[in-house]
Amino acid sequence: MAINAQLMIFSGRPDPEFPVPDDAVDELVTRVSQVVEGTQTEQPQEGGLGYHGLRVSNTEGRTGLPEELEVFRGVVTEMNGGMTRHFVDSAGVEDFLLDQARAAGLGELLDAAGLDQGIA
Amino acid sequence: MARPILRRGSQGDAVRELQEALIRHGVDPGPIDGIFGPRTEAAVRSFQTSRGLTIDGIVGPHTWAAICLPEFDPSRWNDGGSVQRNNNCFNYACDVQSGTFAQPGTASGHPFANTDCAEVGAGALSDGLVSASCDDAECADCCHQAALVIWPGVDFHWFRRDRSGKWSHKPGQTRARDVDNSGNPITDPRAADRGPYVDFCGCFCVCKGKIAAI
Repeated sequence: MAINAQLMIFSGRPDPEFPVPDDAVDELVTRVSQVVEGTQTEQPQEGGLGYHGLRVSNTEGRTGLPEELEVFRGVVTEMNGGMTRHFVDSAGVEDFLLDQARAAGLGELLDAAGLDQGIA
Repeated sequence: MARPILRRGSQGDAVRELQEALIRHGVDPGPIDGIFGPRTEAAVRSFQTSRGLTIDGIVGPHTWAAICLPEFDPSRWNDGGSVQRNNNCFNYACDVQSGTFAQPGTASGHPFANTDCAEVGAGALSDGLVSASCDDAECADCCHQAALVIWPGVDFHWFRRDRSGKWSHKPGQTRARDVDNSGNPITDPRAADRGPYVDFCGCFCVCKGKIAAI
């Protein structure tokens, strides 16, 4: 089943959401499982105005994903049962989700935010 | 700046404004009648006590500032949960935690259609904000300054001026902070690093007792 992700990019307007299709969710699960078996790291510096990350809320209870996942500047943050852990994004989760956002029609917005050349 | 010194015996609109502001701070000054009587004085003393001010029952510049100007207190906003996620830059600039991710003009029935200075600014004016010069040190009356910037055609953003005289903001669902995109303190939002919010629209006064319920 597809799940929704959020592109965190706005300040005033609500952030846009986009669906991550079922086959992409499978790949996301694989990538996230690689990440959480890897290196923990410090909390990333929070973004400001403009692009400040992506969030996946696992409201469907999809196995292999935390309750909530955020990724920004190469750090994956997983939130489970009130616990938060940060990992080095060794499996390209951020790029993968940005590709999903582009596939969902948010490419122009990402370009306008300066992500046309990849993650800043 | 026209906030008069008020004390027992003072009367008029400024006293009424003081009484309304005290209620917003959870202190009961008695009837909103524009008369600075014993109940208003007791409320002022109570407020001064709670804020660590000199307790004299007289409303001078420091007490006025404490009553009317927002304090940079990120702990009020940065709970990592519902407060942080459901209050945006406009909520923060107005110092109102409505949990509605407030859109300028929506509460007053004039939502903006195009994301530009004219329309978003008009929405804010419709909500009760008042145009102001960014070069003024403060707003008159019991109001504080806010500034509108635009990511052209995409989004809006607001800053507010705190009691310290510096500016702070809360970008979207992120934490409230007093630095710009480069990590520098914001002494003037016109000169701040605002990322893609390149259009500076202007400054406004936010009078909390006179704006729409955003």
